[in-house]
Amino acid sequence: MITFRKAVKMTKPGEGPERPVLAGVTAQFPRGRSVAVFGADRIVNSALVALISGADRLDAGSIRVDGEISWPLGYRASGSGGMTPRDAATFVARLYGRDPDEVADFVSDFAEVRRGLDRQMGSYSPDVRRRIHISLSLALDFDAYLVEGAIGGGEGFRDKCWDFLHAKQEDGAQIILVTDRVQHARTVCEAGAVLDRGDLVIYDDIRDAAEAFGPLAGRSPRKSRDKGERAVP
Amino acid sequence: MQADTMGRADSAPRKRRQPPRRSLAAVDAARSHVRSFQIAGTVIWALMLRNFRAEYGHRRLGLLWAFMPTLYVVLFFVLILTFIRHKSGILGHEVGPFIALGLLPLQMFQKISKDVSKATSQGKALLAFPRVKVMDLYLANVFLQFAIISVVFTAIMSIFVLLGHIPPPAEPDQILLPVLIAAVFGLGMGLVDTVFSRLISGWSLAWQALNRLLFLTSGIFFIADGFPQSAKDILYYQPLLHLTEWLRSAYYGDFESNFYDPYYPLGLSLALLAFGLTLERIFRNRVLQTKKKK
Repeated sequence: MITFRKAVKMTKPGEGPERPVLAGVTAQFPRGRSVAVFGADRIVNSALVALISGADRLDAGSIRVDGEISWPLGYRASGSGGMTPRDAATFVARLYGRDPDEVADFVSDFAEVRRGLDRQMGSYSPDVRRRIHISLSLALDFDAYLVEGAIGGGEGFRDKCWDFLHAKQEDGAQIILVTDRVQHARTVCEAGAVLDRGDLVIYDDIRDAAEAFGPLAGRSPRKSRDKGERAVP
Repeated sequence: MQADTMGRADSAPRKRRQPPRRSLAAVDAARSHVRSFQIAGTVIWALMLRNFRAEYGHRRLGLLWAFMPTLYVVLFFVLILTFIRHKSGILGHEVGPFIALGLLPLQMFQKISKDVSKATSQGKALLAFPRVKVMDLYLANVFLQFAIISVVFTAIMSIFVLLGHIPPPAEPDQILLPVLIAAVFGLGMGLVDTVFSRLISGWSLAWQALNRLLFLTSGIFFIADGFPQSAKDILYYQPLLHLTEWLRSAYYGDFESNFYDPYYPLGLSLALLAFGLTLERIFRNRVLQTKKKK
């Protein structure tokens, strides 16, 4: 469960006109339910995900996450530089007190890596790398899985991931999906939220959230506004 | 509640979640604190091994690289001093081991403060793992560097002992304390450097110059008692010299320095640590969101 208390965050200088990600939000995600957060502005969505995972920090207020939440699905920090996929698997396994070999086996199997896990990360094709990074988060048991946008790595792999995540949901895990598209979220989440101009409104029923988001969808403020003008009055 | 401690408090794996039962709030709080310490330990260990592998894992000579900075300083001074003093050594002690002993507190301090001050820029991307907190990044670097330097110096001193250049330590139990104080001093200074390098332009250069001065005055190649009183009064403010003298007094059975005062470096390093932690807490956002100033 995620609780926002008077949370304030502005976008960073390099991210287009300055606009609020959260403008003093106090809200609580419903306990034990999968939530889809709809936001039209992808940069703002990414900023929200970074705040939930702890990669970035609020300007003021607090976010509290109860239970073990995953890092953003497919996040790449685990395999930078000269590291191999096995190094990455070993690292996340140690982080969560799991057996490194077990995690590596899962990754090699689930991501369908045929060339083994011991080459440098950079020598794998982008799609394989994406699949490896996604599999790393799926290898561990979380109370909630944090997903941003669409899952990459090819259509077949995406469906496999969603099937896997659905099975995790059956076991009691939740999915926190932050996205600018409504379609797929309806089948994944029960509750919904709309993030618009720094305001986060939570709906108990995802259909209500989708309806409220309807007129906002596809309207990224970045495209529609002139340089230098503030996105929000 | 601060964002830093979030997540750790209630992060027991799902499977272990028990049906609600009545218990004292204090017991619950204590339990969740123990749990967050356990998690911090796991995280720091994972980060240490990852950093170690990133640093040495892909080099052909591996950990031997860690010996280089120590060995070349020892070698440099051995060459210089044997040339000047015609192999007489310093107060009857052989030069090589004498230099190595003097280097230990200095390197402990300098390597740790340097690694702490690069911890955030180097490990920022890892904060996207919800379990990894900012303090873990600092502490992982402290513990890893402490372990590496301990291994390096234990190996070097063991070789000197085996080759008969120096007897084994007279008071082995007394050696650890000055080394630990040097490490705490390094952590405190590293935190201060982390913050100041983002607040004050010109700080990094000034700190570099000060570091050189610390190197020259830390007693690597001299003994404080060899100086006149007026010089000793100034050198008193150099905490690393106290640690060096303390360490050599503990190691050599026949050498007891009249110079060092254990409470000065201890007090100074604890005060600096408190100051560094406070600064870090206040300016954490600034540290994570800006780059070091030139």
